[in-house]
Amino acid sequence: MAVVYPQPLPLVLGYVPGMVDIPDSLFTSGNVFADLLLARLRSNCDFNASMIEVFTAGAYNGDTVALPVSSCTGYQYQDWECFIFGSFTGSYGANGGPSAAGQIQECYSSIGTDLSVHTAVNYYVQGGQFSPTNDGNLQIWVIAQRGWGQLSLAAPSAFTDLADSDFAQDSPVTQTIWRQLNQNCKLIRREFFLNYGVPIATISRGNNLVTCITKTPHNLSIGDPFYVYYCNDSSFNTSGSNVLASGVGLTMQAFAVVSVPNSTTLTWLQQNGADSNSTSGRLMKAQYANGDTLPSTVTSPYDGYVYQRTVDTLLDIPILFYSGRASNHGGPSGGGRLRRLGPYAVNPTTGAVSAAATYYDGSTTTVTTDGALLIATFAERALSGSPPMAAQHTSYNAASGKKYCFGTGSPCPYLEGQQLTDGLIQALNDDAKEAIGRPEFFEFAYGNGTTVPAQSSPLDNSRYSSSQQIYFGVMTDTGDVGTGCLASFQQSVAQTQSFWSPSTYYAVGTQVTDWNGNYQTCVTAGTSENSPPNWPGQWIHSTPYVNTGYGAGASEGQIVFDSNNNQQICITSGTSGGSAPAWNTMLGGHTTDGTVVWQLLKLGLDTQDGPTLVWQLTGVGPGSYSGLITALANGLSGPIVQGVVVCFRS
Amino acid sequence: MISPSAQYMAAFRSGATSAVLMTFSAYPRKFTSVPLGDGDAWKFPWIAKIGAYKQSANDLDGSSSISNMSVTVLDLSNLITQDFPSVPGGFKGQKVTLQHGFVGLALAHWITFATLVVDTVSTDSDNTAYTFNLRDQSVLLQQQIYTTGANPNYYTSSKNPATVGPSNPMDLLTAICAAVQPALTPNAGAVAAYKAGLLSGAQIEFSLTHSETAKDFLSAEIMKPFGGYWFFNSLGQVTPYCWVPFQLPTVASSIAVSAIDQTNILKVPTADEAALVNQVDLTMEYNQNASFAAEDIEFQATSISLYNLVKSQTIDSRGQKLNFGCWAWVRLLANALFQRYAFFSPTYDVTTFMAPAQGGAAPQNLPPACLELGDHVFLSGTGIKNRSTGLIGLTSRLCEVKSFSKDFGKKTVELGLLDKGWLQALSPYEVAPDGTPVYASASSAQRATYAYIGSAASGTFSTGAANEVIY
Repeated sequence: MAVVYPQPLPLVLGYVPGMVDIPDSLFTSGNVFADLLLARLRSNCDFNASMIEVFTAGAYNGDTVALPVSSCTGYQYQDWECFIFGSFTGSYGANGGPSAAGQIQECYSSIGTDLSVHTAVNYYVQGGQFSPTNDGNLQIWVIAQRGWGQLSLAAPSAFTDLADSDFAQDSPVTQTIWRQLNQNCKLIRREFFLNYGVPIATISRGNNLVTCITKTPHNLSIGDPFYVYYCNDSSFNTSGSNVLASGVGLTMQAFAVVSVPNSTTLTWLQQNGADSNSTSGRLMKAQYANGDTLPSTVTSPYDGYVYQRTVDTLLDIPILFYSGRASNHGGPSGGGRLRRLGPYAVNPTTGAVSAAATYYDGSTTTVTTDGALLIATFAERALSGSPPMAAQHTSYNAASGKKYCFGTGSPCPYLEGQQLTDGLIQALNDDAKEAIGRPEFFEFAYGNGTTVPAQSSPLDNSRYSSSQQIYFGVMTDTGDVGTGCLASFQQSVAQTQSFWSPSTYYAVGTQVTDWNGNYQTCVTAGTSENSPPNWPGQWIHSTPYVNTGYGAGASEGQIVFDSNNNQQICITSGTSGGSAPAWNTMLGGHTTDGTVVWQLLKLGLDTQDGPTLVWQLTGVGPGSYSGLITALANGLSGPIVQGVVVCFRS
Repeated sequence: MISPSAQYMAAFRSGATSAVLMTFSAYPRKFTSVPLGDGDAWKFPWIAKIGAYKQSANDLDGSSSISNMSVTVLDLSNLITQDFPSVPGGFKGQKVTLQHGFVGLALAHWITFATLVVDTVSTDSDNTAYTFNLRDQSVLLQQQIYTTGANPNYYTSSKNPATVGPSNPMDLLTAICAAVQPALTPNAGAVAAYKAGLLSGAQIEFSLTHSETAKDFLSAEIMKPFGGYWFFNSLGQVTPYCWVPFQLPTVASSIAVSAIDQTNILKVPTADEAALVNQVDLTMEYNQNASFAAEDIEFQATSISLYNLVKSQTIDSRGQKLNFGCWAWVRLLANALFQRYAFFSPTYDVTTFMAPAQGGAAPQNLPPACLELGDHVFLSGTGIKNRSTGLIGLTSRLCEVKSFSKDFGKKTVELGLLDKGWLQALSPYEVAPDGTPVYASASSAQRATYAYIGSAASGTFSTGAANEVIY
């Protein structure tokens, strides 16, 4: 059965944008300012906003992964643009329970080159029966990146926080500002890497020796196992699926590096292949294991930007795909059955990988370093400025109106014969900055019953609603199940849709959960904005509060509701006191609270959301939070789910 | 456009005797149409007859054509006959350069108006002359290219596809010129200009499962999808031309236009209509299943409604990819094409004298003989029927040269012109230098030159002046 991806994200473009590397030189004074430039800026901006998408669905052994279609643009992704992998969400199979007696001895999952899903959970009764099964359920992840390995920009772009006033009525189209806008429109800020795989520039085989030149440094060493995917000449590709057969262990079909002449060249032996050449494909290390160290840098195949672990953000999430010995996939190295899977971890500073599996044979507990891992890396480039996009935040102010043009479906307003207007260009400027923040990554690690907090962007302090977040969560540790052994495990991050949603019509009486987890009831019907309003939260003692200082005045500081059911906004950042202050009840009046200073912003609990829609706080949460974690081993709390919240602005 | 020297222009304006010079790539003798000086090469008018040099653009198909041309040369004292045994190939296949100049003008200042290849040589005029039948070099482009796939040991096939690109289309044009034997010369200046301008950043990519005919590939896959065509310029260079507006010709150079008015028009030009195109259907994202995975259809609703007629330009582009921004490009292309053809644009067939107007006040900027395909002229004439206004007469109407026939025997040039008056209505505002004042404080010259952002709400600048429109 082919997997089906739910959860289309709200941004919908009416066409399929692409990326054109427009040189700054076209914006040299004296050059004609033609429609070609504007239309391509818009296309680049829209491409940037939609170039990464995340698709996810549950699957069992025997299912098939479908190549996704973009929910933003309708674009049909090609396999070489997709990073496809699965993570265990549980040990049970499609029948809803274990298919054999005993406890778990080992487990395995993979996605074959034909996109078929393979899972195996082998059970063992101590001193008795060994039962291989195809139990196990997976969360399939397809992280799609448009043009990965195909697009090539001359150089990384720099970001400049251009104000809308730069594009106001009467403004000339000047060289420097428009070069900066050009850079903003094609600035690629975040990327995804799987096992630090790289695109192939050229690959050739002669006398069974394959020589490969990669477009970016491959970070492989002699002896490293690796795979080749998606080469047009399929004879270069790693063949078959690493399917766990009806016995312990499996055959690893990866190639092994023979020599590394330089950082982008490597060779290996491939028997029985005719001499050939190609210029496509992906090269990816087969696995990581305990004791490995992840690269300290990784280079963007799009524009050559070098992500540095010490400068940029590299969120590395270890994903277990085989619980036994990584060295040869030869089964568990400890006797008996599993007592604990994990912990699997990456040191964020050093990139050191650690893995562990604990076995128990009825008398002896053995802690091993078993475990073969995939590493999902979410990379974000550092931007200067704190926050980098102060100016953009004004466009989030409901009173000033939205300027976003996303979704108008076309670069047509930018064509010849159309008026050159402030609305047109300010929308482009704002959207370019929105695109740079799309998506954003936030790491988390929680146990059973906890919720992943709603996220706000460090770029401009804008907040994400539930429907704008995808929870990429994997179990990195089942915890020690105690004196027994591991019979089952399961984990999930619940993704509900009962939250406030952008650009949605709400009738009077409709109740939603706001981003603070509180209940809001619609008191005046209307259509919501593209991003959440500044909901008032619950005041909490001894807690830092921030006057973000963005927007007009202090209108975008953190807001709480006080004991008088009025709304107070933070105008001086600090930490709240140990107990609630005596709140000022005069509109505009100040209240000192520890080192925080509040100002009474609004009487009552209403929140304006768009031109007509008004919400009223009618209940204190937690509401139906999205991101609710379930993590159980043998039905009990204990496992840890680690992952990344991938947030998409509308 | 053939750029004449100042000396050529001076001779042209002086009314000096016009002459044609024919030279060969591997034959020392040169032939002229009028005596130019002492010596066998110059004192006799070898050329007895010269046919018209005709070229036309197939702008919707990405190509162009040159008609075969003939030059009849007297076999003075049987000298050519005597030369025959020593001439490689008996002249056939030799490159011929045809130049135009004037008696008294140093050869260095003559213009080259055609570079062709000898196809056949026939005996003429009762064995007293030879007629050299000349053709262009496009026959070389009939060669197959991309004959081997990724594995160079095997022919291109579905099992051994040839990957081409991602590359800028101008780089591919250059590569194709180099791939044929003998290699053709690309027009490096035009290639560089497009690569740095209109086609800057543009990319195409192919996975070919069979070899391609160079000419067809160049036309259908390189030029047509980008709103252009290729032609051999006067120097025999493969020259790209894109009709999508990016720079107004008058902006580039004052010599980029040619004035043709009633003082140099031989007869009243015929006004007609261009073909209609009000729909563009571009398929792209060609995949390994030999099918196009994406398609964008753009149409000009006003035109379709007005004429009750749909005429489509279909572009099957195997190189255009969505990732390269081709969807946005299609809209630009369609917009430009509709400007050009969606409303039965006027066309004009004009015959002009090669010589400057006598006794008139004709602008002396560029002789008609210097025009090439894609050049722009201002057309004026009191006798031309103007279907737009219902009046007789045109004044400085911007037109694009789509075909020409240069007859150096009759000393006339016939031009096929496409009316581009719609482009004249647009102002090519420029990117301004840093520090340029805002519109309200700008000088009238700055306002007229630079792009300024107006108000969407009012449709005006703060002064009340109407917003600029995008070029």
